[in-house]
Amino acid sequence: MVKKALHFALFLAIISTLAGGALAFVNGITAPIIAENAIAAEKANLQIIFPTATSFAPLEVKDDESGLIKAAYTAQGVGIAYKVEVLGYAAPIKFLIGFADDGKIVGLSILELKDTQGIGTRVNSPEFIDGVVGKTTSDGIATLSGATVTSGAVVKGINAAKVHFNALKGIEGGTGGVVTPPLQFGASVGIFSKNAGTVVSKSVDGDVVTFIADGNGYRVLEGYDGAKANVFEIKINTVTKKVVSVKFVEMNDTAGIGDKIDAEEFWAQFIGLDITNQDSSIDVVSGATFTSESVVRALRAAIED
Amino acid sequence: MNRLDNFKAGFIRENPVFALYLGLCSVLAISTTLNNAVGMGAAVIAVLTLSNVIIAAMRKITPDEIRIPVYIVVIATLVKIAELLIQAYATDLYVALGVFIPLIVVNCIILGRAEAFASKNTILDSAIDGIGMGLGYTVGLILISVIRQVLSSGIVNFSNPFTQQMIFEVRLIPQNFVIAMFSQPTGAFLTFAVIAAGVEYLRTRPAKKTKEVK
Repeated sequence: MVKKALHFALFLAIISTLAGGALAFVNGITAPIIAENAIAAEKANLQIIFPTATSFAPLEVKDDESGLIKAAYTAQGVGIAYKVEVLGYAAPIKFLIGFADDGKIVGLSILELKDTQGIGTRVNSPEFIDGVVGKTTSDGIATLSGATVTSGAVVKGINAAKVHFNALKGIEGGTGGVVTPPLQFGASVGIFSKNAGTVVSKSVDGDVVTFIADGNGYRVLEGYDGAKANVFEIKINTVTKKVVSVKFVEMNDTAGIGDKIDAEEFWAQFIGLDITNQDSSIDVVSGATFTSESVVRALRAAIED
Repeated sequence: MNRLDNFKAGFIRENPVFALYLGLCSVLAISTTLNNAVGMGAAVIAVLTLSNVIIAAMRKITPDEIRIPVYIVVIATLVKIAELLIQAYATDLYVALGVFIPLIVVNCIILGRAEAFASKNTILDSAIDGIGMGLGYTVGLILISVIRQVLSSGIVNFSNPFTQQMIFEVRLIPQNFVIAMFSQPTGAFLTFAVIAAGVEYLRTRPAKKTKEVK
């Protein structure tokens, strides 16, 4: 019994030793080639960011609190490139970001990106890269509307590199943080082009009448169970016949989509709108067309009241 | 056993991919380009043939009770060697195949042939079986890859994995008519299912009736 166990152990030990020897032999041949390949690949990437640089030296990054910076290279007399790894929507994203010595962002090169085709991959397109390159290390960078997770992760990584770079070069003014993208407006819609909603209540204060009115939004029009119209507070000056202000009282459309219209830029369009002019119109928020139109319905109800 | 039959078995009758449904993990995952298919196929043929030969050579001294650990050590060593060689000499292929090179270790074709064939047959027969099965796997992989590559990108191309030099590139479908879905996992399953159904028909169709002689 013991003899048999010993036989097995010895047999496996011999096989494993032979295997180990074979591996050590092959590794001895290939290790230097693999190391050389890795350096060459890294160098090719760095060369894209700093085409004029002739030599690159690794830079030790010690005080990176974010832990996102994986490596850094000084391009002699030109700037510094950081290799950053962040967690994207589906998988880690690796990229190189290059800062010139004066704090200008000179290049962003995405090395590894496995996020959704056509959505997350937008960060590896001129749409995003052109919004990064040319800024300085103190400017904020906007995320991509519709690819917030992926672009937000990349911006976070860039900011980590900025913090290190700014500290190293003594540049004040922070990183500028993450900037939400500006609203994108879609088609114009005339304020009399939609059916009126209903006025819930109104109160008069001198020349200004304050209406609480609702307008059917996306969920009502699509027939969702228990859907309710969006409710707005609309102030109209009855002497000048102009809109004073419009704002949300209650948003009953899809969270995260209908919310988009609750922005300064959108409401600003209503201020001073001439209610006697049949051609008065506002621009809908792209991606939240129905909710934008519900405002128009409520406004018409208020005007016609 | 007739050696030619033994060699041919891997293509249709016992094609590891379409008839035995072995090693599908890598087949579905990396069959996006012809380059990947040829690279993966070559690695599998090399590992499968060598592991079959080594295991057949040791079949008389390997104790039956511990044969599986022994096979695994042999296969893992060969795969690691293949991985190191690919990483050193064909870096692009290494990047494209990624984790699926080390996963050859657990590719059931290899352990399956070791257990089912190499442990009972001579070195020469095992080598022939390894090459045949490996070629069967490669042909299946190339078939799926070409279909997926053409449908998803419209192009079929092949480049030298050692120098990245393009050997040929043909556009078969205009850019506007490609179906990008075929580069995704969905496309892999669809392509595989259709081909597997075809192969199943070939394997099981009733033999032509011979004339009865009274």
